Amino acid sequence: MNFIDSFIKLNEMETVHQIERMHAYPSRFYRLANILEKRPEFIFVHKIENSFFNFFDTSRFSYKPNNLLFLIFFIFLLLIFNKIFRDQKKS
Amino acid sequence: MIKKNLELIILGLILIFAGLLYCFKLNNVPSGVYVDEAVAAYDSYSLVNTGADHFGQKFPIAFRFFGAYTPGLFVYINTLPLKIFGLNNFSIRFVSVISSLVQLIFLYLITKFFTKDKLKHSRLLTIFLISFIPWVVFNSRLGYEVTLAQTLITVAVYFLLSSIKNPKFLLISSLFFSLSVYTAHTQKILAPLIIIFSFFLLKIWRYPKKIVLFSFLILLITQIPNFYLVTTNSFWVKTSSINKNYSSLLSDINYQLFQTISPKTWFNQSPDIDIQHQIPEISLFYSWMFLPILIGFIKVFFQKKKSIEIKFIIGFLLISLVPGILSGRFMSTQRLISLLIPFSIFLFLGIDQIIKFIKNKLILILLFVSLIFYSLVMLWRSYFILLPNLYASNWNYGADQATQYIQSNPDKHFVIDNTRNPRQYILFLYYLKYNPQKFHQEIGDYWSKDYYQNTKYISNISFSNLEFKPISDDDFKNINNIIIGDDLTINNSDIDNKGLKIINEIKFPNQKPAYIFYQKK
Repeated sequence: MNFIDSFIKLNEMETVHQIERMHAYPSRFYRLANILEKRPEFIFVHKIENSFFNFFDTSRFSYKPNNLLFLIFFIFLLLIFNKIFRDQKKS
Repeated sequence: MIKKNLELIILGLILIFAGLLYCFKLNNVPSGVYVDEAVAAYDSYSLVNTGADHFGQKFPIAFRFFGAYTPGLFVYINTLPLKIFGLNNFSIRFVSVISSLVQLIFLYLITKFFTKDKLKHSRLLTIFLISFIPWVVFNSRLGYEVTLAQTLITVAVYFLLSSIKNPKFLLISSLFFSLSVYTAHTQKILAPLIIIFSFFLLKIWRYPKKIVLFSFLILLITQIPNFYLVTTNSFWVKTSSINKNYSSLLSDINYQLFQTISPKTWFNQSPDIDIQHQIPEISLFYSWMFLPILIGFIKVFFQKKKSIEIKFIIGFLLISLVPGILSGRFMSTQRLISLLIPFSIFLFLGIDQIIKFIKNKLILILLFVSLIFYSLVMLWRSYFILLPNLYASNWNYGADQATQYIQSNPDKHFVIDNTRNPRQYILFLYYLKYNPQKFHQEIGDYWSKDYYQNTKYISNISFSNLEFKPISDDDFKNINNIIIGDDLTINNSDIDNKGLKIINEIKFPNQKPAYIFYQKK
């Protein structure tokens, strides 16, 4: 699977879920089900969304308790910078 | 005349749209009843008929739901729609529908505190968008206390912010904060923290002394029933799940914090441990809302001169994280529901910035029309198509059909396997509309004894011709027994070995078995 394909093609597990979803639609919505579940454009949008949010997913770091200290330190720095920035503007 | 009231007319139309959306197929989607909904509904039913909950406790302050307790206001309010519409899925979810509509009105009013512009487009657009956010739609169609509690907090916050200009509103605010504590456990943590924070931020001691005193009295008097409960398990029992071990507690907080601040949680995939808190293939907000909410967030946090309202919303945001972060090992989005208020403000400020940034009206209209259309299609797909089908088992699909079969066979004795769902007796009480007085007599006084202290839960319950327990070999031997189970109750190969036959089968929409009825050949 090349890079482009990875955004429009489904792996085995994803195909199983896709079939499950297709079966959920009443028969009168068959055409719509095909568009929403099978069209490469929609698959592409969903995969892009997933990749985007996976990239920013902070819960990946939650398994190391030390990261909590880093987070608190980061927020502390952010607050200090915010204050400095504000004071500079005032002066 | 129309031009003068345009804002009200549009707001009215938004509420009509939201009301229709929240009531659409309310009986059937979600496709069944969750045990927490059923127990609240049956307790209301029992209250109406006997003045006691289903365990026989007369007018409880907190209701004993299985092995835990829930503050009682929702159950009491629920008696009103139950009287009007009867005991059914629509009536038990109706309080949440109304609560959500009221919440929308007050969120709209709260946005007024965050803009000096006279233009109302962005505020109306924001409220319209909030009305069909998956999180809001999901909670507005839910038959338990979270939505009502959130609405009470929203109303309290509105009057609290109003009190900055007119201190008299502090009286109403304190009443609503106090009521929220009687609705859900989360508010027991949230309301006191907000009150303490606001006291210092708004410098409430500078308010007229009479108003401060009366507000305090309102809080004090309305909390008397809770003072009575404060030494019992019923006041604390849900928080007892918090790990007492220090290192585990820190690890849980760490996990919860990183989950909570992750955009993936809010805009892509909800990590909630309970499937019945989720909608398939969609998270709490639409993914595109990440951008306006982020813009609003930056605007709030990096504003040069922060107004008192902005400071309040920052504090409120941080306080709202507390109940969620303290909820143990697994994330519960329902404990974070109060974040809807700051998120609504961020969304509003972000939308406002986008509207100001894109000067071309045509592009703006096209942009929002396509986003709204896309969002509504995704909501329809996830909530109305996928949820009732893919999550049918989590919503106890089939229990109503099982009770219909039981009703049509009153001379048989049914043994229901509760190994995988120990709380399912309540579903049968609910669907059978079983006479609560009769139920009180049949279960005896074990449950009503030491009502506010006893957290021991016994799942094996018998009433009428029904017996709920894990199935044993002896149950198969009795020819008069009909065993109700699922596909894991008995191995397919054992059906013949034990001399059983399948006499009825209720299937989930995906054709997997929900309930199987076995009887001795």
